Amino acid sequence: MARDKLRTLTEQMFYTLLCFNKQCCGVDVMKRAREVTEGRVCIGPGTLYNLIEQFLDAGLICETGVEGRRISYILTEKGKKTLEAEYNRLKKQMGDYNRLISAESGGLK
Amino acid sequence: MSSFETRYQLSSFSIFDYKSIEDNLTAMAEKGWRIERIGAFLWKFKRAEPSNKKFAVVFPRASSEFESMPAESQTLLDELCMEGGWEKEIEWKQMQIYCADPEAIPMETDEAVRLENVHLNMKKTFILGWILTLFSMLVLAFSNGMKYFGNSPYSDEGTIWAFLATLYVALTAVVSLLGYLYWLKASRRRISEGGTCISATWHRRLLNGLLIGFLVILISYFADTKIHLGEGLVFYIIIYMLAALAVIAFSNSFSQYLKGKGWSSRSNIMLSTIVATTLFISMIVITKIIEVIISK
Repeated sequence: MARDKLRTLTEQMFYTLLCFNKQCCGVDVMKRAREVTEGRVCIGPGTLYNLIEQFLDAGLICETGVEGRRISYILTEKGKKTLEAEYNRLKKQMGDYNRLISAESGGLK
Repeated sequence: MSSFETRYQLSSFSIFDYKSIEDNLTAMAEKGWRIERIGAFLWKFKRAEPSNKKFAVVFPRASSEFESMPAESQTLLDELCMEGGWEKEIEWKQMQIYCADPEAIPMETDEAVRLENVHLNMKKTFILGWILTLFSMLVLAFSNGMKYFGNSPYSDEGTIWAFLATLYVALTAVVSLLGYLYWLKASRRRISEGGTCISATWHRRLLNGLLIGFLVILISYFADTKIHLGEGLVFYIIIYMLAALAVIAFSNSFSQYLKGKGWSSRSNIMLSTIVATTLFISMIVITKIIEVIISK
């Protein structure tokens, strides 16, 4: 079934938005996502391009300037709220895990 | 169909079937063939050193079948691809094909995002095109059906064939759209389970099969209504078919030429429609003249 648009973020969406918390260009996001996750998450150029266009359309990021051929973007207020909502959702998931698995039965069996 | 330096391949992929397109280009590169041009019916390959390059089809969000991408969007995509080690190979309609060494990072790392972008592109072109075809054919079929079954004085021996042909094309449109929707649904399911989209070579084969059916209807129409041509009938049918193919191929190339020259989508559609209509009318006139010559 198709996922509701931007209501829950995929891992790639999450890290792309997270990297735009600081003003940067697309190429910086590719590098930063790898660094932040210690190589666990790699965002491909095609995916990142479409995510940037999608986030611009949805008003989650905005352009801040152009340097040579590179365009910089940053999170908008709406983008920050979306990221925060996803963070809270993930936190709740962790809470559920801790409550049901770790606390009650002393770990995953 | 191959010479030493060039090889042609019949276009056997539906435009949304990016997986099969990528697999085909990778397999051809391994055999020493690189894509040079993509046309409505044929893909042209040129001889190259065999390589293990991998290929990726990108449907950029801002792309259009009739207009070049905004410079800003194209620059962004080019920058990202360069960083990822991908080089642009060719562009056709709204898709852009890139290639890279095997160790380069994958072009697409989120299949769900990719599929939704393909669907967004298809809504603007593939789905819209078939829906317009479906409605125009249903209107024509209704009009011809009313003439033929209502015993209209304007009805002749060709009316029933026109009715059958338009109804058949409408059926083809329905099959194509349903096939695409099935592919989309099955691909979404597969991706939600951690896989990639499903192959859709069956979709193109189905359409090719339906095209053969359409040709049978067309030949039957000629055989029924142009019986006076006698032995010249086969020659007439061949000329007619070749002319129709030439009109489609030229119209397609002309539209892509205007896109490459930076024409706006609206101007491109208008001019391409005028050129296609003029060519189509010229084709009818020329084949009529040929018919008169053969009859004598």
